[in-house]
Amino acid sequence: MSIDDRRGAVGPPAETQRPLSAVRLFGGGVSGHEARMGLLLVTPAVIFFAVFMLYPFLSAFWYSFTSWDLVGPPRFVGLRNYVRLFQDEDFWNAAKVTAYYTFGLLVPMLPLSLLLAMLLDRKLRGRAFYQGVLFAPAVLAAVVVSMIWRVVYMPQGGLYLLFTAPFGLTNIPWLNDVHWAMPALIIVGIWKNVGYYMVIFLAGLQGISPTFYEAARVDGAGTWQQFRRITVPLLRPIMLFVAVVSMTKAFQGFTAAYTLTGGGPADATKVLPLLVYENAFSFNKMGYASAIAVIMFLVLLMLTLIQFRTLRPEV
Amino acid sequence: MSRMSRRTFLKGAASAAGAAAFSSVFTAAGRSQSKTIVYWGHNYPARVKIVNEIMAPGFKKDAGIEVNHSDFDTSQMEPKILTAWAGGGEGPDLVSVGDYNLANYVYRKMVVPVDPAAMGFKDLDALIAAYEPHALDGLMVDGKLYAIPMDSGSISMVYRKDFFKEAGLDPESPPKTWETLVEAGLKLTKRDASGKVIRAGLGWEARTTSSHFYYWGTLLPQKGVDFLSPDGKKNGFNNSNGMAAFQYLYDTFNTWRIAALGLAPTISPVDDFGAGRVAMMNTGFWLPPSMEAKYPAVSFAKGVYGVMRLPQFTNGKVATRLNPWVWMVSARSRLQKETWQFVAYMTKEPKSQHIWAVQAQYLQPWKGMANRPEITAIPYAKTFLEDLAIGVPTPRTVKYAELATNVAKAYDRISANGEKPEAVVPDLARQVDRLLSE
Repeated sequence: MSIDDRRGAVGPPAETQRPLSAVRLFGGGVSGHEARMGLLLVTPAVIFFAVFMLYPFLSAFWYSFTSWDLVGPPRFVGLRNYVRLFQDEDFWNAAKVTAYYTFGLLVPMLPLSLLLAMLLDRKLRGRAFYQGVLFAPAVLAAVVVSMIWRVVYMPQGGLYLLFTAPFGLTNIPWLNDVHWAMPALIIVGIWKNVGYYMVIFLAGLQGISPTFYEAARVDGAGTWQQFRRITVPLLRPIMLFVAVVSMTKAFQGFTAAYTLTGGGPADATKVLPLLVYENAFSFNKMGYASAIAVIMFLVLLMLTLIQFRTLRPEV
Repeated sequence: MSRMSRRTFLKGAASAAGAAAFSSVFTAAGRSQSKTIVYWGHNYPARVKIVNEIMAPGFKKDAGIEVNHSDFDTSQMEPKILTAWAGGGEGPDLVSVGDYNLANYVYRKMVVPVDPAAMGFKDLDALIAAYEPHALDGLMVDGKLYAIPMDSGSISMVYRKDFFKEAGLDPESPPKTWETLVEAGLKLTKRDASGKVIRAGLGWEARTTSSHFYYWGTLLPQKGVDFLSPDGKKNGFNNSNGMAAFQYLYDTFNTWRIAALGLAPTISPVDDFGAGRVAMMNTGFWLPPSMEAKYPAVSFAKGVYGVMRLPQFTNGKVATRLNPWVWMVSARSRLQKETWQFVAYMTKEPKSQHIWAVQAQYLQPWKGMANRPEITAIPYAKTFLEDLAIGVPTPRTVKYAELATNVAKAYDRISANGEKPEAVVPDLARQVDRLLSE
């Protein structure tokens, strides 16, 4: 690949850079008029965040200390929901199922996304076509994806037979067997998301200057060494972004489990968001559902902080 | 951005906000002035068609009141209703749901008692007297009637006569007991070369969490017990009779393997039976018309399938499960009187009862209904009516949704995991006792 093919130099991606305008806004580098205009322009976003994110979150936090069935007024019960939650086998089952889904999805999907990005980073005939094909599922609505995969997973006559029948594997009870149901959802998750993360990795790869690779080759570095010593370190900000976003999305995965298995069989795919939904809208236990949601938030926050510590770019 | 353009922007935003606020007030006022009844029901095609094409337009013409009718997938409807009624807004004025919801709705003051005057009766006694004796007993709480029956169904069984012939069984002598059903089921079950079931001899319907009570859950009253104890304060199945009922369920999946999961892309009783994925299936009076509409070749008249009474245990208690669906009116409705008038329009007149009976095969238990010509003309009506007489209601508890979720999980453990009743039943009993004690 020639140097001209590459765009931009190595450095943190735009979203990790400190916005200059924000520094100047309060540092006196702008006029009062510009400052007011800036505040005016961000106000809708701040209001949106406050009304649709912050207020619901604070409300959920408050409701987690109450017993509320949506009909009568919330009744303060202190830590009772949390105490019950940690004794609830359904909660622990859902926590395990969520961990299985999250790691079962991310462990194969992220390396696969990176691998595909590296393949498409090369000069390849029909690269745009492959990129489009791989990215297409990412723009499909989750419910549409579920409908497609319902047809794929039909035990008799399902499209999956195209791939498994030559090996004698037929009548696989994908969605009706406790052992198959979660792998089935993970496959759906990989299919839907791999193209999305591939595109992000691809953008990161194209931000690495080829001069690094040329210099490494001159010094006798092999492909693996180039990957380990150049690609991985320089891709760390992108990896951090992908890891945080993908884990958050996987942890909150709801639609596939709701539409394909309903959390079954025997709670084998009942992820935490589904447990929250069930308690909130089928049982109208808003306080208990809020307590689960708060715990989910804290776990995600902790995992994100760990990711920030382990994947942050070395200065 | 220039000073002028910012001003323009602010003026535009203010105008838009004002217009939005004004339009919402205008819309709310419009709804109340034009008297529109909001009605939510499940997506059974025959019911939807009757309401949309006959009842709603007819009521608009007669009473001048609009009915805004929406239908939802059966499994999703109940959470939608609960959320709409509980969540601060008005929600639907009228719903048609399974009667098992009654306890929860009444306990939480979400529904109002029936208004006999609005329905054209002198008083409640006169209304009750218009129905078959005891037909409304299950819909009364503390002397007040909270629902009107849309369909007073019970569970019997349909079977494929063509498969019976193919298996060398007499299609005119379907099994009468669960014991003999196993023998037939074994002959009717079809397997592929690897031994996997491709046609189940017996289909246990498990479409929604409530289905479990109607279908395999009938095994419990047939063993003389039920999911709840008679006083409703603890489980009623963690005993030898309950264990025997669960054992039968287990054996159908794991010992005899005449029942199977996952034969269909969607769990639909109509499709399972019509497409020939199951040979025998317990179901209600409502299934034949919708099934024949979708699968015309599977015809009762042509002898492709038959209807039989629900099998019983040889030494058990004769029983089947009642499966009534009812109309209830929201406590938040501002049109309660008008809504009960609409219910009366849909069910009180013989013409309306005829429509429900013929087009949806809904049996409304008005006095003498079973002897009406339109019912007796249905060749298999007698079978369902005989089972109706031995019906027992679904468990009544304000914790119904949680009970049903736990029961569904137990079914999954037995059917999908192959776990034995000895492991599943005590767990379920513990969960049921815990939620009843909360």
